[in-house]
Amino acid sequence: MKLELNLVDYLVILTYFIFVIGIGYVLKKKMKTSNDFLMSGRSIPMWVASLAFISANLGAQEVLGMAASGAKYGLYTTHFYWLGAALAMVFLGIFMMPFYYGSKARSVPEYLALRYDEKTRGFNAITFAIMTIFSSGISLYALAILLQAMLGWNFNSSIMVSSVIVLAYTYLGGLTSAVYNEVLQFFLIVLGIAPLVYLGLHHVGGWEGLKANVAPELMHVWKGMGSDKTNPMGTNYGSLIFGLGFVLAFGYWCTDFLVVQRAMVTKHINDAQMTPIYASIPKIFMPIIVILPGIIALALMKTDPSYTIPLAKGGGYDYNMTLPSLLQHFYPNGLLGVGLTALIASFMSGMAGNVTAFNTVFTFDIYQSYIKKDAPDNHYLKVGKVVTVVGIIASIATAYLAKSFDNIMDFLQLVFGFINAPLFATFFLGMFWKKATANGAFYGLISGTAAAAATHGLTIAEGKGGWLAHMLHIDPLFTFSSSMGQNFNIASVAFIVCFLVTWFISLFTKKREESALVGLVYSLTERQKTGHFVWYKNPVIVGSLVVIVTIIFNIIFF
Amino acid sequence: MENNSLDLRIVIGLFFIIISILLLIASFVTANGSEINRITGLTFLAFGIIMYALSKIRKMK
Repeated sequence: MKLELNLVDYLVILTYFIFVIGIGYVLKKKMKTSNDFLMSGRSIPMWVASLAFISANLGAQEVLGMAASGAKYGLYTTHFYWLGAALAMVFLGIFMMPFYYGSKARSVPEYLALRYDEKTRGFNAITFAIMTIFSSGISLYALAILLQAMLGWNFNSSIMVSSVIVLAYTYLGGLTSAVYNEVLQFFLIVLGIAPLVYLGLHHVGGWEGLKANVAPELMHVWKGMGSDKTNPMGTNYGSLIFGLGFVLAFGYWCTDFLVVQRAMVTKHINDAQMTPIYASIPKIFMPIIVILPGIIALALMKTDPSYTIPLAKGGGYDYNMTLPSLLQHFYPNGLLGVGLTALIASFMSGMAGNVTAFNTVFTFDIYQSYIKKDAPDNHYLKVGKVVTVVGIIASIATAYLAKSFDNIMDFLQLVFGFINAPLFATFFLGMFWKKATANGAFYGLISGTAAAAATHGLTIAEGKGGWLAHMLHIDPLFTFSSSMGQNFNIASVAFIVCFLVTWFISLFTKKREESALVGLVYSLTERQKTGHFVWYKNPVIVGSLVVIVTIIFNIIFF
Repeated sequence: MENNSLDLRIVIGLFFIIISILLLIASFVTANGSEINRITGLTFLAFGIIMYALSKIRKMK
């Protein structure tokens, strides 16, 4: 599929590029210390931080991937928002943010150093740094592939132009520039795709027309979850609620520095708490923008013979092209430029978010901790800037690696999943159990990661996994109905193993003095009094309202 | 920082005002889809003006 752009479309794209670089240029003069460059001087207004918090997650994999999942799994995809995001974001705001912010840690790995020890921090910092570079590279690769497919643009040129633009605004304005651009990108993505939802719904006969033209089993959220054989996601209540709703959701939203960083750079602890909670409000409505187009595409294939989801080379539908194909079908020139710019913005948002999280963790948690401890601040500012350039170059290299070895990227993403899955157990025990020890946490993390790998190696789903069973010349221990179901179970096993090993080793290893854990552990920290806050600044009240609305959505679409 | 260096509401407001002008131009020069370009252009214009106005109201306070 090729899109035919005209001058107005190109002017829209050019305007966007000028604005994102312009934001970086204007902010350049404010970047005087490493804290300004890597932590925004902890001065980001709450409304900006909240939208950046949600936008940092609104990368291309989200925008294209959720439309694809909408076409594949229908309304069940909303679980990634209503079950797999909102509750965890509220939990982060109410319970965990006081420790991240109150401990004065500059990063998530630094919190681990304060709570446990340097080796746990080192493990988390190094794996996180590698993960962010690969995620950034994958965003870059996917953008270049999309521009090649949609516009016929050269792969190398797309990589270079995108990288230079992201480098320009992150190098000039640091984290502040990335955060400000994420807010612009948020509005562009929402307002750029909203007309598509309106046009699509209008075309298929509104909500009733949509329901009439989509398989009924795709228009529910919970129906058929009693067994993994009776719903399109191929999973069940247990693995969905525990695997996605608890382990993966809390593991990502509460411990991934890429998103947590957006709340940590606000002015006050109350702002930091309210950031993820306010972000959860647009988050629960995001399915309208990112999932509904996929479902509309299904209905459109029945009502409009001129539309189909593009076919994949190997047969079947290429669901990842659902959103671009809808843009092509509905948008005239002008609006087409806006829609395309929204897609480009989502890729850049993902890449910049990863690069700015990478430079902070590398500078503070690797360079300052292990390479040069007591240098003047100006030195760390320079290092932060150099690391930003290195991060972009490494992302480019990763994008070319992805082009050459598709399987390597799949493998690495899988390995990173193994590392991330048990991390929430480490944080959960660290924050809520004062007897958790450094050795318990470290070996718990290693064991959880190994358990995740072993579960993947001994089970199989849609032809994936089972590599360990193959090596051992035995049959896989279990066959899952879908890869998604397998992933939820891998995460559950990793969490449980990490939790139990951390608990068990902590019983027999040396605990830290309680005085050293004040401000880091729930039971040893004075509760923040929220009674005097006006209701909309009270994390418990707003968080409870979000949870109630989320439950109502689940009931309505049950 | 926002007040000292860069008010994001002004930036977002200006961005959407410029994009709305481009969409309104497109509604005149594009044969198909002029109506949706016009409606979206006017919506973006309203959003841009609101964002811009919000920054001014805040400063007056």
